[in-house]
Amino acid sequence: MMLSLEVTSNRFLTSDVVQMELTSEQDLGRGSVGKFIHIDVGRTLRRPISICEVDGHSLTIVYRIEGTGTAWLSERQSGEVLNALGPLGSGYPIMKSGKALLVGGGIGIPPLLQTAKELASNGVQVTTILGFRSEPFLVEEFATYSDVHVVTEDGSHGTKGFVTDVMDAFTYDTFYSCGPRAMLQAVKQRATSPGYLSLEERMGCGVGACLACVCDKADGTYAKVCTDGPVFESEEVVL
Amino acid sequence: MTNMHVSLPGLELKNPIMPASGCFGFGREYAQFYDLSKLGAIMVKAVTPEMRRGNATPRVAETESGMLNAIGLQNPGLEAVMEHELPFLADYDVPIIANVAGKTPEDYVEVAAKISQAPNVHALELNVSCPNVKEGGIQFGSDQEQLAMLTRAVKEVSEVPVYVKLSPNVTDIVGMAQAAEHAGADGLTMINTLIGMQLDRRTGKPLLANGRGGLSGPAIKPVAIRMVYDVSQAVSIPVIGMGGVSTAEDALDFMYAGASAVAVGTANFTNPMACMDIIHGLETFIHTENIDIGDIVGRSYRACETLSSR
Ligand SMILES: Cc1cc2nc3c(=O)[nH]c(=O)nc-3n(C[C@H](O)[C@H](O)[C@H](O)COP(=O)(O)OP(=O)(O)OC[C@H]3O[C@@H](n4cnc5c(N)ncnc54)[C@H](O)[C@@H]3O)c2cc1C
Ligand SMILES: Cc1cc2nc3c(=O)[nH]c(=O)nc-3n(C[C@H](O)[C@H](O)[C@H](O)COP(=O)(O)O)c2cc1C
Ligand code: FES
Repeated sequence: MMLSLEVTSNRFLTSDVVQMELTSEQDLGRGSVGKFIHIDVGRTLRRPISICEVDGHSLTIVYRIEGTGTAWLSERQSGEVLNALGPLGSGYPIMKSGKALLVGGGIGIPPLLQTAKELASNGVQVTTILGFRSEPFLVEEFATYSDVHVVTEDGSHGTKGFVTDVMDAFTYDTFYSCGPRAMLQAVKQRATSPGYLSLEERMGCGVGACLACVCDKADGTYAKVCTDGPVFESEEVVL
Repeated sequence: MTNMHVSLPGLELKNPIMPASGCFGFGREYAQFYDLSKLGAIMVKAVTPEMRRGNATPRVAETESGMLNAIGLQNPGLEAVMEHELPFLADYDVPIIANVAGKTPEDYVEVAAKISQAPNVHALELNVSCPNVKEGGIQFGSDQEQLAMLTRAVKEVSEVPVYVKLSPNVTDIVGMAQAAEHAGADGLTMINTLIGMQLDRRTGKPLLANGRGGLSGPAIKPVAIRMVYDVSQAVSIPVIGMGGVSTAEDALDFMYAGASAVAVGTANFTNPMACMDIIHGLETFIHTENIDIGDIVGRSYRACETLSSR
């Protein structure tokens, strides 16, 4: 639960997206796909960041510099130790066969990388649509495990437009999506099968105690994004 | 072994440290981190007669050295709490302080009458100070007459001692404390959050969906210390202090200022082990100084008295 994570590298992928590699004393192994860690950044509240890749004692996170906390993270040097809670939440269930469509938008893309890797290792046929405003990242990594389609809003790379503009070209049994809420709404509407959505909400505790991070469920009840999610079945939640 | 025992109305505390209401759920989540029996007590989340959905998100925002929240008293309601939450806590050897809330005096009376019968509830804490709901809450906590009326009504039905949780969002905190005492309160808990606001730098809009929220964390500690200091000298019932406690030193400050016990809120979010770390720190202090835990309560005003009487 309490993790000591040693920074092994911290490098910029774009002008504001940073990839940090960490080693953990504990074996975080499998089962962490789509989950997140809650990192102490020396402020009042910890910062939730998704696990991008995980293999035993090593894990990778990819974050965008948004404000004070992520700026602080970007300044960490190799050898420094971070205090984090995790892996927290419930992640993506990994299907055993068939075809999967992964749809990621912006900083929602990182948690889909481990997802792609594990789906591919199960023999699932994986197609990935990656949407960016302008500067792509992690494209080659996704290409190792899947057939990748890049979409940019400004048309500087790949197809110009939104991820949903290209979704119809594919058939799939299940979709896995993470990105801004408006994108998730559009993806859910456009999708031809049920799937999984990863939600984001402001967090206090990260462990289910403060009720800061609630979202509406289709059955009229509430769910907590930090413990019941961040991954939900697409039909389960109201966006 | 160091004796950290503190005796308060209804509460025999192994040590004076307890998580504050709303910052610890009903204990389940933090039971993964340590044995809840090690806590002095647990102040559980506010309970209202019916289930409450709370406010829209975002419900929290970080500020310089603190946080704002506008949860809005979300809770599963009295019946569900009695059936599903309190029994879980009964497995631990720790007294529970039930936080009672509502829209009307009748709501408070209903919750107090029933929840005070739960076998592991040793005291009630009247939440008359939640800044995040439209009806109830703060309205009772900012008017001396209403506060006294509500305290009396709850005292009449409660099977256990009643602590009144004071709001800092008043001009005369001592007057409120005395009103509660005269109405029969067995103790006071203080402080609840201070009403605040944080704006988005890009858009100028409030960061919380609710606009305003309750400020907690280190930012409010000096305000809380001043209020505990003033109130504890003006009443003869015990005070449980809180507001920005994250270390043993912070807890000590509250006890110096007159608090008999100390609650820890926001710090649980930063460090899930906060209560345990504070208990250990306090134990070490008591041991090295070779004093009784009771000796430190009110030390600061006793020190000031000696100064002024010289
Ligand atoms: C489950 C989950 C997984 C996430 N995974 C990633 C990831 O892999 N990569 C990544 O770049 N970002 C991710 N985020 C968003 C990331 O948590 C925020 O960008 C980050 O907290 C901003 O912190 P800051 O100090 O830089 O910004 P500030 O604006 O200075 O932060 C102020 C406060 O707002 C909160 N906050 C600000 N933006 C968000 C947000 N979008 N979501 C939740 N809280 C926020 C902060 O935690 C902090 O409490 C994730 C969020 C959640 C909820
Ligand atoms: C997220 C959150 C939820 C809270 N919910 C309640 C509540 O349900 N009832 C209550 O009496 N106080 C509630 N409070 C107030 C705390 O119990 C405490 O009085 C306040 O936060 C000050 O202490 P702190 O600075 O240590 O957090 C809440 C505070 C926070 C931060
Ligand atoms: S962040 Fe506290 S309940 Fe989810």
